[in-house]
Amino acid sequence: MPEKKNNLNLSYKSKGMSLAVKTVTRLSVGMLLLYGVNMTLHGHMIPGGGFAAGIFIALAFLNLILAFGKDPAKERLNQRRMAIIMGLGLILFLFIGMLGFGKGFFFADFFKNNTGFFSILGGKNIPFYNIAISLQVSSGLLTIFLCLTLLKIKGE
Amino acid sequence: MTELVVLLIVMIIGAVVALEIKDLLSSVVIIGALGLCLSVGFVLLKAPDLAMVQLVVELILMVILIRATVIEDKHDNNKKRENAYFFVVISSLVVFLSAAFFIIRKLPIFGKPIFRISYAYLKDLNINALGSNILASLMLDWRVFDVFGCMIALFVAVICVLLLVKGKRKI
Repeated sequence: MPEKKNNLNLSYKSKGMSLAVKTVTRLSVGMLLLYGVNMTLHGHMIPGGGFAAGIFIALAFLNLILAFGKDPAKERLNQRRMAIIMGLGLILFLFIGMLGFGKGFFFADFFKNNTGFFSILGGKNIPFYNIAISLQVSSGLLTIFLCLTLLKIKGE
Repeated sequence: MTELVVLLIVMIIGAVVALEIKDLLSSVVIIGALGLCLSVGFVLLKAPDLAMVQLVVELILMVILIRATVIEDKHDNNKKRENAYFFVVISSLVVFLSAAFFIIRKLPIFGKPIFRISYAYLKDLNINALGSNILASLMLDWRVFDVFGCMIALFVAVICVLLLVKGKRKI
């Protein structure tokens, strides 16, 4: 469809915000997303962690929705896909915890010695936990926001 | 320490203004400024982790609050009850402040004596195996089950919202 290519097309019901906001958002969203991913992968080194990184990633997508309006978001985002990512994060966290049974107990460290390739990680299995947490938190917050804005409540 | 005191005074004044102001949008903006002050306070107290989370959560909260308030600007102030509200607020302020005056004087100094639990954390940490951020290591080394419960809470919250808000349209 020709309407999809031009974001400023007036045929959208909700046009989003002004041209300046759209331009700035187009520039800043990439950086915000990159910072979130950086914080996820370096969460054991720098301030922040999985939770803050997940919120950053959710905020990047949320900025896009606010700037460009509801309808482009409604066409692109899929509720089922978001739910799958959210469950995947939780199951990944549980799976890494279960791997600790090889060492003796639940949530035990299995990189205690930090030799060879895994010495890059520095912080035991913390980076893996951070990845799982950021996956779950980002998709969960985004799902809540989308539901509250795009859908209608049953009673109304 | 003086910067922290100035920040706290600004926050108290801002909170009172946010309660009393008539325009809802201005009130929400003042709440955002309060969150910013709080995150600067966390930086002054040397907790950059918490400052970052506070800042970002405040941003999302601001977006949701603005979306909720801008569309419907309703004032349901009942003038008959205003005097009663004023009396309740003043009396509770007097009670709480007088109680706080006596209680805070009897509190021990912060950090003295060190709590036994934090001693155990610091003693049993395997320092060589950690990253450079001791807080993340504490959080995911000792309290990993806690974080797991937190994630489950978020999961349940999302499912509840999905059940409540399911309408005719699908995303």
